[in-house]
Amino acid sequence: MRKKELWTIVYIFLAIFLSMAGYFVYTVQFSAKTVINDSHNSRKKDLEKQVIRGKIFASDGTVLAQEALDQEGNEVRNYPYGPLFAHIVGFSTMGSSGTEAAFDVDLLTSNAPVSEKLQKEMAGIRNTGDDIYTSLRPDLQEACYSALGNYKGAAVVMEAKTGRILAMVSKPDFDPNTVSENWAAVSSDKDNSPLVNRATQGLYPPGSIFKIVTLHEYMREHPSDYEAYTYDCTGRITVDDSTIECYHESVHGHEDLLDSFADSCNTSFTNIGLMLDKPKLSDTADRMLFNRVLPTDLSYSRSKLSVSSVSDTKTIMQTSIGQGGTLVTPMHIALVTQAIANGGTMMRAQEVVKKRNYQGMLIKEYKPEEYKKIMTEGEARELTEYMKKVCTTGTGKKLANLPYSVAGKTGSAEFGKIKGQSHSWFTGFSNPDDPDIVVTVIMENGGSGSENAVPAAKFIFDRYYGI
Amino acid sequence: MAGLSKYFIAIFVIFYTFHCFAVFSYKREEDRSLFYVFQNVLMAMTHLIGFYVLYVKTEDPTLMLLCVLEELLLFAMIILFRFIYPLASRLITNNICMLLAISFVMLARLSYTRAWKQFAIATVGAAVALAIPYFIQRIYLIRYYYWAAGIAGLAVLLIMMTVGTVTNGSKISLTIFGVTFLPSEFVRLLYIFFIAGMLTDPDHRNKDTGRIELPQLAACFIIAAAHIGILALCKDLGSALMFCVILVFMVYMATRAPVVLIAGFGGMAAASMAGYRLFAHVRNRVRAWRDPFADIEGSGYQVAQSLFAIGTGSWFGLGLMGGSPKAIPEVAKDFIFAAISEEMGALTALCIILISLSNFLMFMNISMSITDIYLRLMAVGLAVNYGFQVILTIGGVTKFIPLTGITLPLVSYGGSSVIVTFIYFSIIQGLYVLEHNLKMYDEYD
Repeated sequence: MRKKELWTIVYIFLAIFLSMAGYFVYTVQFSAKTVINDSHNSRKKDLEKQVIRGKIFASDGTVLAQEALDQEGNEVRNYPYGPLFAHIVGFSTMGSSGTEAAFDVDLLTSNAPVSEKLQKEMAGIRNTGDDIYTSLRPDLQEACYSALGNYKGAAVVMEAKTGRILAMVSKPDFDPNTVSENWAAVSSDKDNSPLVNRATQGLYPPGSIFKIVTLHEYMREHPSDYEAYTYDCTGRITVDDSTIECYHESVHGHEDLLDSFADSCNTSFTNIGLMLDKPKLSDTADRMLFNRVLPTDLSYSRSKLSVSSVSDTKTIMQTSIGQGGTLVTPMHIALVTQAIANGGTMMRAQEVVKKRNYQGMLIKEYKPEEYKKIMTEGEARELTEYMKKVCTTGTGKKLANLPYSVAGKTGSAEFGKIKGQSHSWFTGFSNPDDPDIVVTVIMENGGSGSENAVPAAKFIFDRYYGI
Repeated sequence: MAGLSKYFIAIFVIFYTFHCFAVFSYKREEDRSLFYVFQNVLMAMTHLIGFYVLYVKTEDPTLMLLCVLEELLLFAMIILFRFIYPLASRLITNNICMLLAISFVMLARLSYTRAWKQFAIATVGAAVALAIPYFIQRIYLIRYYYWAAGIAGLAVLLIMMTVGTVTNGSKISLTIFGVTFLPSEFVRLLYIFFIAGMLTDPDHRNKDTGRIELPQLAACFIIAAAHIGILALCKDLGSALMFCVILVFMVYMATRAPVVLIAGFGGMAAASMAGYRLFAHVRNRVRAWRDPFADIEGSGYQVAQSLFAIGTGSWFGLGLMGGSPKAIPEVAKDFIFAAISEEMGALTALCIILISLSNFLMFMNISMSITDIYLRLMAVGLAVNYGFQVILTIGGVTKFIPLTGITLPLVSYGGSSVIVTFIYFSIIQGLYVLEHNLKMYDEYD
């Protein structure tokens, strides 16, 4: 009697069973690690019953977050710096946020030696979770904190070549040590929204910061003759009944492309914007991660920009100077600046450098990671030249003649209905020939960029260079 | 001690599973005896240590009673089967008991009342199981009543369609005396009887070539299509798919034409595409499969929770009472595999896949030893039925395939599931015994 058909059936089922078992093994070993860090996974509290949450360290070895006992002997999460690292380190007591959230499962997984783990499990003692070593620098964090002063807003400091985050401050802040006790008050404070990390989640009009994008697109569309561009600024430009004025009624007169950018001339940039190819501008913005995911494991908002072939004149005029419906996060601007500093290559924004077990044994290293080439090296170099000019004779000239040099761009982003109110922006990087750090600052309702954001950035750069 | 229990459980289950395959290194059943006894010990230890942990964590003394009764049931089954049917496959009996033992522990952890209910149902199932091989030896009495089986099955499905209750929008069940039945599980058995009878009736096969007459084959397809159609209308997609697969493989076996497999799977692919376009609930399932996290509060909730459970538990699990399996809806039924993986560990869960595979291979092994075409077709139908049900359940829970909402035989909670599984495992055992007896007659001749 022939059994060929039976064997065929056996092989078919064997193949399905084994692929299913293989898929299951793959799920448990590889894909599960990212899956279970999801904020919807309520099982992290189960891990907490078995593992003592690990510590988070700053780059100088000081502790940013650790388990400790309160006066009654209850275990609490302790944040020695209080509000200083409130957003970037986050908290793990009422849900979790910041680095605490991004590395939740890592902190709750123990890579202690197996024999020790078994002994503790047998004795019913909790094992100790792994520790997270960040690139955050308390000195720069403190500088950002002071630089923002009493303004609402955010500051981000990033290593220009690696994308590592050295400092990130958002204001207003809160004390993560008491966030669970004060939860009702903190979470319902709609005027200040202290829980929001404005650096990654705050959506702001970019204002003149966006002229980097407009300039970049113009250079791409006119590669051979953009230097021949000239414009006569009369302080205002009207096309199809829409009018754009220069900031504080300034009149820039006859100027070329470099002057237009350095002096942040709105009318000239409106004129440039109207010359651009709309679909190409939209593509360029997409490539620079507008409307796209950002390479960070912190929770963030996507920047918004809508330009298409059907956009009307008014939209194009406003968009080209960073007004209208365009919204960005400071983190996004910092990443774009970092890419320009790094020859067009955007790096992943990483705040974590290493993971060690609680005894200090290295478990995992998080190496700098290239994310995307957003422009060519030549384009980045040319943009850098223009941004240098901003910080020598233009709107950022308070950064001129210092022991270090800066390439950057200021912004005064109008918001709300009342004319003249604006957020103060600055983004830039130091020592453009061999760049060190990227600093992005926004101060809400802080007036023009040169008025508040530039001095704030200078304060941070000074601290970095020990001045 | 309780802290290390999860490692013991994993080790016991792994050893057990190893022996499921290692027994085949011995050709003769007599030499395998020691393996089987060792498996029984491992099964008892797994069950005992599981209940020990539950007792330590809950301090509920009635758990001890349940534990003892369950151990008695398991050993009664092993011993009675051994003595009443010395020729039955001991590996299959062991596997039934091992899967039940793991299920007993997990159900006692999930729901105390359900654990007792399951125990009661399993006792009834075991009693039925003990009698079935005896009746199967007289299977020739019912062999030619296949039309009755087909029509009875259709009738049950029609009743279910009109008076059954809807759960989860797709599953239709009947509740009798507080026990909920999924009629489609019983109908599957009748359906296999029907197809096996239809396709092997000597009166409808060509005397010379042995080919099935075309009208007979067509009638078989029409009745099968009616079953599948009703189930599709009831939105019970998992069952509809099961019925399709059983039909394709049984027709392939009976006709020995590879084209049946190709056409069958082609047809099912086309039907799936049509279903995807026509029905929103099919699209929902597929979406939830491709990215359960996109709609984590809605259609993706169950699968996402299941993946959280499996991932957080990792290889050794969070330990019994250490996780949150109850966060998964339907955890005792369709998602018990995820609960086991979460608390008893992915290694144990992986072993459940392999023990199920061992069952399937044993079913096929029995089919190969059977010479009678009717009995062989029955055995193949039951093997495919079992194997595919395991694939649908575990595959759905682990996001290997879209979720269809079907139970894991012998492990999931549920009256009909346990009893039906007992019945067809016993039928297989009966077929095995029957074949042995037939061979012995041959030898006497």
